[in-house]
Amino acid sequence: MDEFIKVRSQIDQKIAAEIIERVELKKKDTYQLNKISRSFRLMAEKQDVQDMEILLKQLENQAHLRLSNPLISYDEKFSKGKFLARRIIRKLIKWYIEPIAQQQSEYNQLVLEAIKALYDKRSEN
Amino acid sequence: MRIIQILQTISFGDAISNDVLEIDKVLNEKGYESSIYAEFIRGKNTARFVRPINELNNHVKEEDVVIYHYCIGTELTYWFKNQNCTKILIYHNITPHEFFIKYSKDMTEITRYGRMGLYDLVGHVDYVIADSSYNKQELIDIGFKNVSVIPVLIDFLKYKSSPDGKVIRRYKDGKKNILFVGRLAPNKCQEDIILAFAYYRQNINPNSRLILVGSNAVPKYADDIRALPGRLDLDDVIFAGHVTQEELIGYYSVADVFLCMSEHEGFCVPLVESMLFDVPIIAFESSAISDTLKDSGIIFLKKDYARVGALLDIIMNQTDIRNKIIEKQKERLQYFSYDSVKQELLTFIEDVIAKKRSKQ
Repeated sequence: MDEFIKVRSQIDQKIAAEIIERVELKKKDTYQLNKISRSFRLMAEKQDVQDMEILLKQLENQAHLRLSNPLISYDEKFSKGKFLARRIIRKLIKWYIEPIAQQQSEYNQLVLEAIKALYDKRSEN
Repeated sequence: MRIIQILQTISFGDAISNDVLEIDKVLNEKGYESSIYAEFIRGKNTARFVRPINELNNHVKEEDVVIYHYCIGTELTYWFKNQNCTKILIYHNITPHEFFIKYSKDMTEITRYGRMGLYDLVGHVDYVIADSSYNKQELIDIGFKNVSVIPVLIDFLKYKSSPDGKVIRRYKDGKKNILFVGRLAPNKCQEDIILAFAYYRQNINPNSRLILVGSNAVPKYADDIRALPGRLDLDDVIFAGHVTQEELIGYYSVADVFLCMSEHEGFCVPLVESMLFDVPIIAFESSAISDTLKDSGIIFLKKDYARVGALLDIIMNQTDIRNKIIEKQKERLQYFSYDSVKQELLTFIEDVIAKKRSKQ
C-alpha cells in the first residue's frame, strides 16, 4: 500500500501501520464517495456550461436585426390613416435603414462567432 | 515618525485583521505612534481602531514606516509602491485564482490581480516579512530578497474567556465532534471533509458529528457545500457560519479532533488554535500546513476517505496516541507564543528604525 501518513516520528509510524491493518480489515469500498467527490467538482462546471449555453442561444436569436416586423392596424380612430402613414414612412427610409441594419447584423454575427470560438477553446482546455 | 499599517479589508474575526490589530497594540504599547488604514472597514468593533485609506492620501511623510498586509488584489498595491517612506510588506499569501474559476468571476479576477500586483512590487519595498516558510519561498521565487519569517501574532489570552454556553450545551452530548474552522471557500475543500466524515459515520461511528465553522466566502461554492450532506443522506453536519469569539471557543472546547483537508493555506491560524485547545490535528499535506505543524499533528498525503476515516477513529479512541499528539502540539505551540512572536516582531521593527536613523 502506498504511503498515506507523512512519517516524522515513531507515533506516525505506529499510526500508519494501524491504518493499513484497519483498512485491510474492513475493506470498505469508497467507490460511491469518490464518485460523488468527482461529481461535486464537475457540478460547478456543468452549471457554468449551462449558463453559457443559454446566453449563447439568446445571442444567436437576437444577432440578426429584423426589418420586416409586420405593421398592425389597430381598431381605433384614424387607424387606417395611421397605418398608411407608417407604411409610407417605412418605404421612404428603407434605403437608409436597410444597409445599416445589414451592417449591424453582420457585425453581431462576427461577434457571436468569436465568442463561440473562445468558448469552444475554453471547453477544449 | 509614524508606523502605519494598511490593508484592503479589515473585519471582525478574520486571521489577517486580528494580526493587524495585535501588531497595532504591540506597537502602541512600545510607544510608537501606530495607526491602521483600510479600504474597507467592516464591523463596529474594528471601526474604532481603523480609518479609511483615503484619509491617508498624500499624508505619508518620508520619515514614516508603512506596513502593507498583502493578501488580495487591490489598487492599494500601486499606491504603496509609489510612496517614498520606508515600506514593509507582510505577505499572508493569495489563494491561487484557479480555485475560484468555477465559482466566482470576481474572486478569480481579484486573486489574479493580487498575484500580478505582487510581481509589480518586486524591488519597490524595503523589507519583506512572510508569516510562513512556504510564503517566504513563494516570495523568493518571484524575486524578492531578504525575506524574514515572523508568524502571525496571536493573543492566546483572547481564548481564555468562557465558551458560549449554548454551543457547549448543544454539542457536548457524548457524540464525537469533528471540527474544521475556515470560511466556505473552494481552496478549503470542505467537500472532502464531508465525504471523509460520511465514510467515518456510515462505516465506523454513527455517533459522531461534523462541525464546519466559517462564513460563506464564495456563495456558489457555499450553496454546493450546504447541499452535499443531503445528497449523501448524511445527518449531523453542522454549518455554524460566522461565529463570535465565545462561540469559537465553545466549538474548540467540544471538538474531539480537528480535520483539515484544505489545498491552500498561507499559514492556517485554526491549526494554532487547535493546539491551544488541545484538540488533536489531522491535516492534508499542502501549502503551508507542514510549516505550521512541523512535527506535530498528523499529516496525511492522500485524500483517501477510508483511510482518513480510520485515522479519525484511531486519534479519537486510542488515548495513548491522542495524548502523544497533544503533547507534541503543546511543544509546537511554544513557537507561536505571543511573547516570542511579539519579541521577534519588535526586534525586526527596531532594526528597521535603527537602519533608517543611521541613514538620515
